[in-house]
Amino acid sequence: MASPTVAPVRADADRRVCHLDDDLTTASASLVRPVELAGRGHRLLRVHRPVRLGDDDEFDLRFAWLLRESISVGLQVDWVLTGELRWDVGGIRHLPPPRSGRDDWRRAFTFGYCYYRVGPDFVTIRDTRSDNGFGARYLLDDPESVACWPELEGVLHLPEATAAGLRLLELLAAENLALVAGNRATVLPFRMRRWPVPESSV
Amino acid sequence: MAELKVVLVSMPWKSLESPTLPIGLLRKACRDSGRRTPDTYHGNLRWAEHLLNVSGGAISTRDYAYVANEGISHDLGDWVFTGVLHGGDFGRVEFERYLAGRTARIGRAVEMRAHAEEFIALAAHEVLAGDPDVVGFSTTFMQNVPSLALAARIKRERPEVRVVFGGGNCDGPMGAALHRNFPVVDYVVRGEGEAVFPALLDVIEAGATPDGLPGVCWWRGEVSVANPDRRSPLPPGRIPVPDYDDWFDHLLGSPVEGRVDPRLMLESSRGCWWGEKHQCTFCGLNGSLIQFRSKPAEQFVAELTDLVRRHRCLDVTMVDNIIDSRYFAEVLPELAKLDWDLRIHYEVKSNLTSRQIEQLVGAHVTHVQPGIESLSSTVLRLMDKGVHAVRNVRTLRDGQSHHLTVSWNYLYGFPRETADDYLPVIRQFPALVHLPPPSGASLICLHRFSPNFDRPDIGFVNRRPAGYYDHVYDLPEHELADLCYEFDSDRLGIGPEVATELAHGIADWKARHDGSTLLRVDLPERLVLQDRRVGWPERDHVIDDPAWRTAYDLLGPGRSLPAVHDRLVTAGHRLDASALHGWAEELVEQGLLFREGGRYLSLATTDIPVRVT
Repeated sequence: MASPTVAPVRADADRRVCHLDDDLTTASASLVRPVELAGRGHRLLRVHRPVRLGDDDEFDLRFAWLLRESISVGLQVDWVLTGELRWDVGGIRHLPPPRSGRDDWRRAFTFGYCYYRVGPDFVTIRDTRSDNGFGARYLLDDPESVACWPELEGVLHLPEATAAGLRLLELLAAENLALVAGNRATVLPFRMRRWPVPESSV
Repeated sequence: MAELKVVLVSMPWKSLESPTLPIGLLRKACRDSGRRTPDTYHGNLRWAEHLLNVSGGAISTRDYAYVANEGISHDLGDWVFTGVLHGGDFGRVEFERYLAGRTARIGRAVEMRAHAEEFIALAAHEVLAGDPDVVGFSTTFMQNVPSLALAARIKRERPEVRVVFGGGNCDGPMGAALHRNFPVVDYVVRGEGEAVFPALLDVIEAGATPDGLPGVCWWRGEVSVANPDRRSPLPPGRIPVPDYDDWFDHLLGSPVEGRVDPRLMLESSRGCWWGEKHQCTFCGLNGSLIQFRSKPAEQFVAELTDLVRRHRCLDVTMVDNIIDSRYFAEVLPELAKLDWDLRIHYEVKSNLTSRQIEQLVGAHVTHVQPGIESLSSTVLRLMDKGVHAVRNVRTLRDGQSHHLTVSWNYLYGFPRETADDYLPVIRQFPALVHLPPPSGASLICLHRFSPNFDRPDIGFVNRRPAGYYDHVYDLPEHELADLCYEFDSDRLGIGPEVATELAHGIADWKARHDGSTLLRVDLPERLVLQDRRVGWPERDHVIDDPAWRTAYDLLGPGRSLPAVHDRLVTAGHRLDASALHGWAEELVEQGLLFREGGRYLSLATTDIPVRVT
């Protein structure tokens, strides 16, 4: 199993850039931890090999998870798409688009169009992906949903999911707030860990 | 007599996004004094709902916000309701003429005004439906006329209802003037109301006169009596935790709900610790009571976390005029421990250190208003700000580096300022375009309670109530002079030409801000300043000589060149003072350093925040 080459510092290189040199695989994508990278001062994740989507359910979700967790902490992702995108661009327009491969995604991208925030015993979701002026707001505060939210933050293997997790997934999917591929799923909104400037713009 | 039924009212133009703090405080204060919690009438929400309803959604919450925020400079909100108070067309034509001379937009205020009368009738009906004995109005800024209009209607329909006014608009002589000019107001509570308001209810309940209550205005027959205001400041531990239950309940069923992001309004302190020693000459925000008091750290953290938990609301606006310095050590570390995605707004003093900015951001403070006001040290001295201009720019730079939203406004028109205090700074604006621009340039206003008002020797000798009051209140000038907060006075300081240059400079700064970055990248062998500012050549400035790199670092906090030279020599670098000066001037020319008042400051940020374009 190939592990990712995470090379934070190259000779004479910008310490802010983290390089992923090898082909990303399901396993290697899951080893990249954007929160930790941002904590070490990285601001850009450069994926040097094209990312092939559309062939493998789990890989697609792992990579979507990587994009989501990266933007959550203000880590830009420089990547190139090959293969097929299995989701509508409208649903993922809040995730970092590829440098090349899908112009429509780049045009549609806007930071902060779909995010969530964690509070004491509740989670709020703000979704402005569809242009209806004020967007939609959701509040999860029933203990069961709040308790199983972390389960859906990762890439959920449906056969191993709890009943509560599946119920919440169904609710979220009905609002286009979850990505599902085969028997894997994850939530679409990213956690707002780093606010834009001005913070009132989202 | 049975316990009084009390309704507390908050009229337009209080923000729709948050509950009214004074109402929340009085609800709790009444309960703490053993009374039933007063009902609340959220007249601001009801007005916004009414406008949505009667216009089929055409007059939106954004139109409300325009009047509430932008209209404040010309009292637009009071004008919307003045026809109800003084008769249909009062001030209508004159005010539109007044505005036309000032390039201000009237928004949808004319359409709104057409609905004011029917709304006041509706509001009176809804307030009286609860069969109250006492109706209390909290009035600040543009809430006066809508509140008076509703009070008059209530008294007309039910004269036995007692009407009480309180809030910022009632402080000092303003409260006494409001009382004696509007007999529909039975009582005015001046100053902090937490102790006095429940005591006044006791007096009303007992059928007594409130002659012993400090600051209260009341009627002895047809004579308005204003009790001397001998109150002492409420100790911080006795400032109640606001009760917002009813506001959140109301919002839940309101069509406004989906159109605003609710925010909690909290206070951790009252007064201003800087103003106690050196009150900024233009500032009257603290009213007649500037003494600084802050809540014990543990108490405040508990209040904030309890209210966030209770109302499921992660957005918090602190109404404090200035954060307590102790809070950096005692409160912010506690907030930083919370793994909650809070978004907190605080007002701070502008000379923050980088470490303090880091602490604020770590504690989930995402937006500060540091009272920067100017980038000229001379002008800052004239306004008694107690901060050097490079410290202000440093706060802008470090805020940007730490992804902190920094709001500020450029003020001008101070006595004895000259064009020389502005032009050299305006010429450097292009170097600052990667930093947050001011929202605009404003000629300072003369506000009651400010040193400029209290001490005519500062320069503002001639004064009269601001012109818009003539079209809002049907009162003689000598009464307006006691009622109003803002005054017209002599135009002092820089002339219109320099003011125009300032405005153009700021407009240019704002236009260039999006897409502008100047980033410091530390590489092992060299320092690179990546210049991507709009209007400058795209360049990577490389500093690889250890002495110059050290010099650049020494300019991080903002220093004079002799101070930098001393430190360089101490560190073992052999640099000629004139070479240092030449190098620094070259960097100023390239827009990499800001120079003001004998000090230089490096301008590159260490990070680039996300901007939504």
